Amino acid sequence: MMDFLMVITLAGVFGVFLLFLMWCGHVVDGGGENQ
Amino acid sequence: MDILQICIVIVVLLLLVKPVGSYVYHVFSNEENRTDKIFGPVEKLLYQIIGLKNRSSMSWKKYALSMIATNIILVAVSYLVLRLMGGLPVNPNQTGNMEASLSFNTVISFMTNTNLQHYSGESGMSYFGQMIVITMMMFTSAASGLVIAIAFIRGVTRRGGGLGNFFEDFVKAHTRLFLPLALIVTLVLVGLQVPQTLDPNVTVNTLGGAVQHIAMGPVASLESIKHLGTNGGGFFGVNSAHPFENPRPLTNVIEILSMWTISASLPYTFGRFAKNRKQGWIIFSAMMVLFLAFLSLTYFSEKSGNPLIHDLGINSTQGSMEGKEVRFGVAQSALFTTVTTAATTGSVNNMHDTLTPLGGLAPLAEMMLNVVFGGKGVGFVNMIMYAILGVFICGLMVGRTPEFLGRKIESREMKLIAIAILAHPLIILAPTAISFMTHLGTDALSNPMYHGLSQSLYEFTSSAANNGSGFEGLGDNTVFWNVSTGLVMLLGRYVSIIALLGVAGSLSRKQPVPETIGTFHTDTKLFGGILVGTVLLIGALTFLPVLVLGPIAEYLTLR
Repeated sequence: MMDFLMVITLAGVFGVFLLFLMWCGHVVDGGGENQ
Repeated sequence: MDILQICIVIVVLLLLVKPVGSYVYHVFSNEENRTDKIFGPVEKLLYQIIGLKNRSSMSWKKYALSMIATNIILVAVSYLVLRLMGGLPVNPNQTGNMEASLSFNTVISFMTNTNLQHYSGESGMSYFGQMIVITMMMFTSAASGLVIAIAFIRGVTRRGGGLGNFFEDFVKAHTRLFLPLALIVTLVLVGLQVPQTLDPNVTVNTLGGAVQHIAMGPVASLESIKHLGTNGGGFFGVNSAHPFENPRPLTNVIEILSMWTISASLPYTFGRFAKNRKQGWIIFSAMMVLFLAFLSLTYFSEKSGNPLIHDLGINSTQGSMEGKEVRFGVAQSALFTTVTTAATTGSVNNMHDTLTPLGGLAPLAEMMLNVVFGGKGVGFVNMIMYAILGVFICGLMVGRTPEFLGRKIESREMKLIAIAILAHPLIILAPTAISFMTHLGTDALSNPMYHGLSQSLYEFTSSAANNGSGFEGLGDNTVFWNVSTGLVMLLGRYVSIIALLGVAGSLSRKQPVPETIGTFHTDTKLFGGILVGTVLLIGALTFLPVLVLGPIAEYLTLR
């Protein structure tokens, strides 16, 4: 059970990092800037 | 004599910066050079083994994804090894499996180049675990950090063409830098009587008639890369204070230079890439000014000793020797402490928990700033982040669009830099506050007063800066501390790396701006001063209040 919690936590955090990477890509491409 | 010892080490470092910085430049510039004949065939074989047929340059997103994916695989394999360690080979001391939350903390710790150890190497790790998980991750996490810095440098100094190929850089960091250097340092350490053996612990009968088990193992091979890769930790629980890890002052100097040289050389490498070596020296000088300030604070605080002990009539002319090794004394202990927290290595040769209040404030502040040379690669990247912030602030003051290395700094870069700068204090201060809201946190403290706050603050600061040293009076091997510091280490490593690679990717796309009479030059002493000022200003605004509650309040109680 503890192993499952640890693995899920790791997977969740790396998932958040991938979402953050996508958001950074959106910012770099000029997303959200006033035209 | 103390000052002379410190000066000799700094002079040796200064002599090494240029040749090592040039070598790193040649390794990653992808221009043909003499080392190709030596390492080229090995690298080609490795490329074939990993199936790397296309070594074309990657976009910043692909580079970051490749690094994260590689790290995920290494974390998964290492977690399995630690959980099954008791049944695996090369385990002559019959070490059992590592507990789940401790395995979680350990794999994150070593993958993020933190090397915070909530276990003790003598009893909690088999030889197989020391070699296959710990030593392996010391190479791969250092290489990951270094290639991120190289990719960032390419992004801010070149126009277009991507940031390079992650897998090619990752292999080269091993074959041309860490493996050869680790081999040399290992052999030197073995020559200076650091053990390297697979024999089990030695059992002896002491003069008092007791039976003692003396821990041994493959120490030298771990010791070399733990410093070269600014990893930290150690084969033994007390790290480089243990006589088998660091038997004499000469090994102490070798270990200090091992962890300091590559980090200190990266500004020169940057100058080579930017075709402006003066720019590199300005960045180096800013780092060195901050370093010397913190070294002075640590050394003179420790040399002054504890006034309460002095008032008891005890001879304290040697300074505060509590928690220090007699063979190193105050000077080599203060230098090791300042370097290990500047380069965010985190291995210790004295117990940081017993430093005087201001002596302990210096390493804490270095990790809070996270730019004083910094860990393998990421510290340098953080300093460039502050350089860009510095030109942005100067641009605001004179009403001119800021530029860095001929590229305009606009809102998209500043958004990502703001996130990277603000994430660091957030993941230190918020968990520290939470740890005082629950008995799960406060039960671990060994001091009920101001030093107790410093213990918790140091643990999360060390985790966020991917340092790994600790105020080890903290009883931190619990599920609460294992999981909370594990999450802080992950956030401290990857948030800034992703954001700053985004900045590099954005800058690499931009057209260079022609230089005019109004261009603000960043290769001047004036800019060096602005850079140091920016770092100290941001650091003071975010961390001074909590430092007043911890080490500064503790200092005032001794007066």
